[in-house]
Order: sequence, then C-alpha cells, then structure tokens
Amino acid sequence: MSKSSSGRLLLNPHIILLGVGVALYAAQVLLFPAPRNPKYNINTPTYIALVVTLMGPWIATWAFGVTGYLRLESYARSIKDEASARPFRYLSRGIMFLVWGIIVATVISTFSSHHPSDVSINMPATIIDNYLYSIVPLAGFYYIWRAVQLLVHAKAKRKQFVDLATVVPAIALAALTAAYVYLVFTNPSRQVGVGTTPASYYLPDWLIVVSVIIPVVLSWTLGLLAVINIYRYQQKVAGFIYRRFMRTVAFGVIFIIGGSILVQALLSIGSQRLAGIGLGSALGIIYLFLVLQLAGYLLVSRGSKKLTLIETA
Amino acid sequence: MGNTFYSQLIVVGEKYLGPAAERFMQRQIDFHLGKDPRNLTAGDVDKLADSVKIALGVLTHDKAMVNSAVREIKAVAAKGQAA
Repeated sequence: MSKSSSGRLLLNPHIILLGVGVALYAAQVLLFPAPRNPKYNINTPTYIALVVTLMGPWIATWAFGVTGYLRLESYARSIKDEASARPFRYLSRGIMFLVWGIIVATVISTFSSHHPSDVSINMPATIIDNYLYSIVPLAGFYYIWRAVQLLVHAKAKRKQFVDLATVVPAIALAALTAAYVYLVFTNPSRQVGVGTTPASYYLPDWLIVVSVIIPVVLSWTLGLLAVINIYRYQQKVAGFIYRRFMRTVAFGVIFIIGGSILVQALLSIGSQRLAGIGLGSALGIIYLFLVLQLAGYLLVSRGSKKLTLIETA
Repeated sequence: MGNTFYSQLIVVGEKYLGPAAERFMQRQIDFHLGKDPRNLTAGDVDKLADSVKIALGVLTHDKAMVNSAVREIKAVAAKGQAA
C-alpha cells in the first residue's frame, strides 16, 4: 500500500471511529478491570489470559469487519454500471450495520459490567444493548437479503432460488424460534435481576415480544433466506474466476449471519443460566461466535479485494 | 461484423468472468486498443488477447485457465476471418 493510500485510509471516518471504539473498549478492559463473577472462581493469571485471548480476536473481528464493508463499497464504486453495483452497495451497508451494532454493544456492555449492581447504569445499558442485538441486525440482514435478491434476480431473470429444498431451513427456523421464545420466557431474570445477576431485558413481556422477539425472528428469516440464496448463487453464477471470488464473499456472509444468529440466541439464555452451564461451555460458545465472525469478515474482505481486481485489471 | 465479433468475445469472457465480463472486455478494448467495441475487428484480436492474458494473469495463477481463455479469444477471431 502506498504512503498516500494508507494516509487516506487513516483519515477515513470509519477507521477513525473504529479507533475510538477500540480505545474505549481496550481502556475499559485493561485499565479498569470489571469485577469477576464469584461463581467462576477465576485467579488473576487465568483472568489475564482470558482477557487477552478474547480481546485480541474481538478487536481483529471489528477491524476485518470495517475493512470488509469498506472494500465491498470500494468494489461497488469500481463497477461503472449502477444496476450491477447496487447489490454490493447493499451488501456493504448490511455488513456495516452488523459491525457497528457489535462494536457499540460491546463498548456499552463492557461499561455496564463495571457496575453490576447499579441499576441506574445497568438498566439503560441492557435495554440499549438488546436493541443493538435485535433492531440493528434486522436492518443489517434486510440489506444483505435485498443485496442477494438483486444478485439472484440479475442471474435468474426474477426467479428466486427458493424452492422445496428450503423446507428444511424453514423447519430449522421454526424450531430455532420455538427454542428462542421458550428460553426467553423461562429466563427467571428477564424483567428483574435475581440476586447478583442483573435482568436480561428490564422490559415488560409484551414489549419483549414486540421490540425484541419479533425483530430477532424477522432478522433470522431474512438472514436464512439470504444464506440459502447466496449459497446457490455462488454455485450457479457464470465465470470460473468470478465464481471463485464470489464464493469467498458468499461464505463470509454465511459465517457472519451464522455468528449473528448465534449471539442473538445466546442472549436469550440470560446471564444466570449462562453462568450455570459452566465457564468451559460458556467460553466454547463465545469462541465459536468469535471464530465465525472473524472468519466471516476476513472472507468478505479478501473476496471483495479480489472482485475489485476484476474491475481494475 | 464488429458487433457480432464483440458479442462472441463477451460470451467467451462470461465463461471466466461471469457478470463482470462485459465491463472487463470493454476496458481492455478501450485502454489497449483505444477503440469503440462496436468497431472491433478480427485483426485486433492478437493485441486484445495479449492484454487479456496479462489481466487474467493478475487475477489467477492458473496458467492453464488463462491460456484456455486466450485460445478461445483467438478462435473467435479465426472464425471471424474465415467467414
């Protein structure tokens, strides 16, 4: 990368905001460590190892996320024909929503984790975080779904790739929704905190249904449709070289959507039950989410860079 | 003739570059031949094949694929000259 292009990149407002987000998160974690959950009984060296192995990949995920959607946007700009550029512009916007949703949610939840028993901080932080994990992904998944629709329509003359084979994902979605609703409403700390565990929602049940469950299930529906269609698109699109690059982007999008669905489902468990499954299992789920997100954003970033080469070679 | 020749080149390009083929071919013709694609003739093909070979070489290390694309472009030209 030349000096001027790296200089331009550093002056990019998205990169500046990313720097602010990383600084806020890292300062909170490293300078003011949050009180440890007594249930886990973690000693200091283990705690430091956990912080480093979680914080490093998490910040890398944000960085790959931001570069991923910026590269997609750059690819869209390199396409002179607006109709062909639009799906990639939407894809970039969708990923931008998802990335910033997790960045802002992480900064807020890290801040509130320093004040576990202060309801005046915990309540608004939890409510905002829940909306960042429900409404923001809905916007992100909508744009990704729309982008894939446009790609599929351009390829298949307004014929969607959704057919009888989507019955299995539809059943999976129904099962996931049922499990999600069950987990939300059997969460004993959903409205008020229990003991030292803060509440998961701080909202009445009807508001949980309207403003959290419905947006989450809608976003899963759009996300799964996008996954099915982008998977089939990368299989069927013409062009040996184009298909190879598009496949990288498609699998990136599939991993990102998978990771987002996992974290939304995870939130329904509630911190009390999460503590109950043990530190090892909880960390296993968190690392799985991290790997999915990191791989997803990395693949989108690499695939977009390769696609841009076709437009500039 | 120019139009038919160009559309046959696009068909070859789509085999390798899918939806990006037309933009790619237009750019190669514009930058390297300085011509309007509609005025393309079979006589331009050697120069075009060279520039396509270099450009595809940037995109993939698969030399067999690059050579196959170049061969197909030249075959379109040969067909045009024979007609």
